[in-house]
Amino acid sequence: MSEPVEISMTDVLPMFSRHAQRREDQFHELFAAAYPQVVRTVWFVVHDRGMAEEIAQDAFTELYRDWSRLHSFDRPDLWVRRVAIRRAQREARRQVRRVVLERATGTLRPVDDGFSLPDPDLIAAIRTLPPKQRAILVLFYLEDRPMSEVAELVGCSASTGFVQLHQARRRLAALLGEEVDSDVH
Amino acid sequence: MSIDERIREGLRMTNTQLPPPETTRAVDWISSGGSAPPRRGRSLAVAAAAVLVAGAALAVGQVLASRPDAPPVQQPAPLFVGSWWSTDSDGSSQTMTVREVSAGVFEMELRDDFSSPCSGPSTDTGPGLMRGGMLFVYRIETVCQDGKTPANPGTALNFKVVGPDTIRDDNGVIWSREGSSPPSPAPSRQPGASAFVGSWTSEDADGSSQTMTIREVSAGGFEMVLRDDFTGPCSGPSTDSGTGALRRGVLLVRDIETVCADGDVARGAPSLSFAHLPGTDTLRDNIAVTWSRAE
Repeated sequence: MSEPVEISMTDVLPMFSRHAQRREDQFHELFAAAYPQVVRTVWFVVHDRGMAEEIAQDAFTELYRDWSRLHSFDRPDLWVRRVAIRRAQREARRQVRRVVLERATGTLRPVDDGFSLPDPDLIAAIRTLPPKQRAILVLFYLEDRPMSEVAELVGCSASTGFVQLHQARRRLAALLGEEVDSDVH
Repeated sequence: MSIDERIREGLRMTNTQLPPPETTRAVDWISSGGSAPPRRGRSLAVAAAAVLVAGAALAVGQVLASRPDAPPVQQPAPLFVGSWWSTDSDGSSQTMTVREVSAGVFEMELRDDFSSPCSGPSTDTGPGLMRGGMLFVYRIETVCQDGKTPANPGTALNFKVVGPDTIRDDNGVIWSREGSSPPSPAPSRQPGASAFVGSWTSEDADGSSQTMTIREVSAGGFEMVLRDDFTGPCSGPSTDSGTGALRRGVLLVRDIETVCADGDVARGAPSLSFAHLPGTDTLRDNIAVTWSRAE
């Protein structure tokens, strides 16, 4: 029979603190890896750099607040992306209302984020889409996510996601004078 | 070119053109352990924002940046600086000291004569910043009096002024300035089982909706079943179940098992605690989710 092993508090405390530090490190790693692309993805929905950063930061803030629970999730990056995308959609809906009001009062100002767009017509056309269609478009085409995952992120079923994508493609094709040659799957 | 190629190509090219998000003073500061005052950012935008936000726009640790069009700085804090006392929702007595260590940067020390993670006295410490008129204390470290250190990075508290010499944290606890009269209404007695038993609903931080049922299965023994329509580990609906007991007015649920809708068993929170918010029919759990009694 082996000798019983005595464990003192001085042995255990560093383990607690290492565990806490590891979790803290995991958050920093996730933040460093995911934050820039979350901001960019959100930008394609709200088309405002400051707003995109704010929305992404708020989403990571939520993640950080619950990190003691969420760090054990298999994909905390998906969780934070889901929060950010949904906030972006809400903000974009508010923007639409604001633009309508600004048009009505003659105070509409163009958004200038201080950088040149490679395809400004495409971005202008995307801005005419409803926020959910913008989000689906960027998650599907830019992030190459399967529709099942896109649907989870924006909060709809996969079949609704495909319908929304189809409508977005048709609208963009009409606005840009391009052809819709086949359906996406 | 088809519309799909145009969209894909246009999005990718734009994505590469978008400037990287600014790093912020807050990120640098908290990465350094919160031990030094915020440094100046490296870009003009950050520098401009630094003037505007010193204290006002800094949020949870790592993840706050600033916007050049941020609102003017709120002058922080004599409102929060000083010594405070309260009676926790579990009936324990708490004292807290807040001091301003440099312009707009605070330090909190909170002593509780009974905290659930320690099952005894504890001391919480953490740095604080002003945000939206509230004092935001984050990265709170809890040290139990018996030497145990619960691993709880990421916990945070907001304090809001609710009256002269009175502030409230986001657990609903009212704090009074030392030397002032007791808060009104006076702290209620510890809640019993009826305050927890029943059906509850909430919205999770990720926007998903949750329902929970708490039953008393034996004298002092409880069973919790919590259904969430989306959880990260399951990437879909899940059900958490666990057993609990009341301890000094707080329901502690342990041995929680998370089962996904597709039958998989996932890792979830190992334990949850629920406090009844005095004067309301709501519960607050230890991850700051508020639960309302279902109709």
